[in-house]
Amino acid sequence: MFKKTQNYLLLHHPLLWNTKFIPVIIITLIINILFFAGGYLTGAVDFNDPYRLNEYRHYEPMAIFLNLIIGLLVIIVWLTFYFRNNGFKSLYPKKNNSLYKEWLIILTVCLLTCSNTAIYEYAFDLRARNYYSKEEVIKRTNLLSRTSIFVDGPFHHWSRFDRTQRNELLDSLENNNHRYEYKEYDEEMVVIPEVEAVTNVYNEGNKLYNPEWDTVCYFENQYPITSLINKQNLKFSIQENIHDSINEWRVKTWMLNREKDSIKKLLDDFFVLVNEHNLQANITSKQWFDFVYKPNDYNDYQIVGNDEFNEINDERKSRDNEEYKTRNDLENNIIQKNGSVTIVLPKYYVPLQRMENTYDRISGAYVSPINYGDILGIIYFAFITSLVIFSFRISSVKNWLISVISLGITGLITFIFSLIIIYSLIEYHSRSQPFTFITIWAVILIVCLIYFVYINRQKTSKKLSGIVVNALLWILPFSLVMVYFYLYTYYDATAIRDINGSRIYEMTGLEKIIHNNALEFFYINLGFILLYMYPFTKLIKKWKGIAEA
Amino acid sequence: MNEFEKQYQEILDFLKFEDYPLAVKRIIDFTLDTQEIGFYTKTCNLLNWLDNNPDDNSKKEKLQELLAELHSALVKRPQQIRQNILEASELTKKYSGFSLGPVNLSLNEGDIIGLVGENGNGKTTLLRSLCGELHPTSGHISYNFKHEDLYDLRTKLVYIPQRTDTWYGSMMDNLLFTATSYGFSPQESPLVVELVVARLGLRKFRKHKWKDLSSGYKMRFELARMLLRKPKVLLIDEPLANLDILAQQTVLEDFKAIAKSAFRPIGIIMSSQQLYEVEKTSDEVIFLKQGIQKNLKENNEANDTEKHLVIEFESAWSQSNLNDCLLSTGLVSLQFNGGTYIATFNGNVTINHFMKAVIDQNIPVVYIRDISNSTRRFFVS
Repeated sequence: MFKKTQNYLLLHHPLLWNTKFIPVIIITLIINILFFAGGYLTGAVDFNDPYRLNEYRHYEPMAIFLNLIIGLLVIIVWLTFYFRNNGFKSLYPKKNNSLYKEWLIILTVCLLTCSNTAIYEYAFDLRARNYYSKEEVIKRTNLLSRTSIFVDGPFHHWSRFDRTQRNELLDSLENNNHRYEYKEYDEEMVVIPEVEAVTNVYNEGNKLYNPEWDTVCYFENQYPITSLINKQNLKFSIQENIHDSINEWRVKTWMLNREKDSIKKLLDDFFVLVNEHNLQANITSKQWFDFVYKPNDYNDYQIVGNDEFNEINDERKSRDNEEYKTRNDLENNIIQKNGSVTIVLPKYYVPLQRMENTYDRISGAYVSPINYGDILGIIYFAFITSLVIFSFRISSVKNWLISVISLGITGLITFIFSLIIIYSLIEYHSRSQPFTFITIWAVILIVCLIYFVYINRQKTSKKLSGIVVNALLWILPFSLVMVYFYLYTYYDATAIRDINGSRIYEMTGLEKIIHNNALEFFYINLGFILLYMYPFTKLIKKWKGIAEA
Repeated sequence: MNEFEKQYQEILDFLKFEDYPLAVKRIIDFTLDTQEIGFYTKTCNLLNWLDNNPDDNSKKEKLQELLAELHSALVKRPQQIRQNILEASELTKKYSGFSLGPVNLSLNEGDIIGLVGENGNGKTTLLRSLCGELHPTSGHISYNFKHEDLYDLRTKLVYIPQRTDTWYGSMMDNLLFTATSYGFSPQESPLVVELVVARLGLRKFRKHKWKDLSSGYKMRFELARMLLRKPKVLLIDEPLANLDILAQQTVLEDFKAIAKSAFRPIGIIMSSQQLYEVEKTSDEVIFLKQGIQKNLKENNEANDTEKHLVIEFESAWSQSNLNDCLLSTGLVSLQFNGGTYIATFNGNVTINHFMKAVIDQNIPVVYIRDISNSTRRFFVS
């Protein structure tokens, strides 16, 4: 069967036969499927995970390593068969688009070979997504977000509320930290005091102490800062920001309005989920309700831990005594000593942490199953590899090796040279910019391009163009990147403007597009490479006909 | 009688004298000339039959039958008028320390030009220049056939260097790849490859690997590939270098048959050190000495007024003894050159006079050759 297919290709599509396209595609696809299966198998979610292990991709390094080894093996074996025949070097008749097709074939093989890790990651996330639909995950994460208010966790900072935020003492500080911020609409700079530096001063004896910091205001009522009504809720990446607030405010409205039934139902629903996943809590829904439903100020509650092993810290006691162990409600919790370390564990707990660990993973799998930045790296690697193979294909081994060595040495020299220039001539603030390096390579690219076109027009002998054509194949993909860099640098420099005596950084229109869309630009550049390679391969075919010397 | 009829008669003679291998080769040439799948299939079937029945008595009849069919198919076809396909004028190529030319040559379809000369005298440089691999320093080469660009031109000029590249993979796959690349249809390709392989006596070696082949058979596979490339001009560097004497004669005979095809003639330029073999096969011989061209015809015409008889011979006698004995026969000079003597006589002397002197004087001679019209003369220091 295999032999028949190859024979058919040899007689009907010699290019496909020569490139061994069908066998290599079948092999790479099988490897792709194996990586997919690996990702899917290892992507299973543990619904009883107390240690956030769901978050870790344990087999990812192995997948990367295997991708490297297998990819390298496949490419080497493929090349040994592919390089057996070379119609172009033997000067067999070729259609104008034949070389372009050949490069596309090489590119396809490289892309498939390089994509194994990405496929593994995709399958890993797909497995997590396949447990529940997106709507169901949102519903469940909303439930967890809401119930998290009644479980041990952090409180909101007082500065979140529309309060004075400053007191006279703060203003009087000699070394008061402040920062400048440009307000676009007002077109002016405003001074923002850095209050964070002193916000932890809760001691009433301290001169910087502000009594406002002990209380928070919800619905025009004052609550202690440690009140459950000031609790932060859990957030999941699948939830939009607005949903975080809606979840939080809905529960807090129930608390304020003393809607016992709603709160009870919420806790009951949580327990339905607990039972579904066969998790353990050491209290019932009713006990939990009794512990946390303290409608006076929601400050007199029993802490309910998010897992039996997770340490708790009772903020309500924090200002009474600085001794750690006394900061906790020892009567209602468990003290545990591990040598010299004392930790306090909850006497009552619900398995919220395990739920969070589970649904964080699933929700993450929905939010960004594909990291376009990482994939871009893989695609560029495949493009460059394909061009390196293609250049080997169209030039002699000698010229190819000379190109590799000469470009490597040039790269090193230009790098050192640009470092010297940067550190000796340019102001300190622009040292991070590879301006000199890129400029030198832009000049090299232009010179190579002109030389290659000149040789093609002269049609006398190839001279050094056998080396230059390789250099062009390897540098041209970065030509648009160079242009982008120059535009970026230009707009970056011109975006600093002098407004009312202050130097501010402002970009508009095209500048903003260029500045904020680097990733998109790099994807567009791939299209540019695909486009220019067509005429370039046609030119290479014509160039091949020119005498060697 | 036109070229085709002459070749047809030759094949009939081969069959008459039961020289089947040669007859089969020429029948394959005719088959390829037809460019018809029907004939390709018939001949391939016959080749298979011959492989399976080498001693069958009906062999002759079957071959005659096929030949008759081929004859009736080809006889109506117009034969190609042989035109000039390549012309080099005042061609020079300069390296640091070596200069070739100026060289002038003209090649017609169906012609074979032999390039002779000592090592390092520019034969390979000239061939590489003609095939477009080297750009001449001055002068001009015109190729008188259609080509779109330089790449297209070079697809039609097949240059086989002395050291050919290794073939990887199966021999037949390599040849099929060449055939399909050169536009043979999927139906034609396997048949044409079979025919070409048989034409060059390679049927037994179809399954061999490149490294298992002798130099001679490697050269033949290169020639097989060349045939599939339908070249306008074949430039071949030292094709006889690694061949035994029999193989040399076979290859040269093949060249002649391929070049002189009545319907698909090609021009061949080959370089070689085998002077006499090349001279026998070539229509014209160019001698290169330190890059300078010496044409035998031109040289003879230029010196027509003082034409000499030049004899190369081998004898056990000393130079002075021979000189004494041959002076009376009109000897002008006698040189000892690499184990043989080169004797130059004045224009009135013929080889018969020389042989008579040898017999009369009882000179012991083991080898004798008239090189008056051979480039061998140019090798004499």
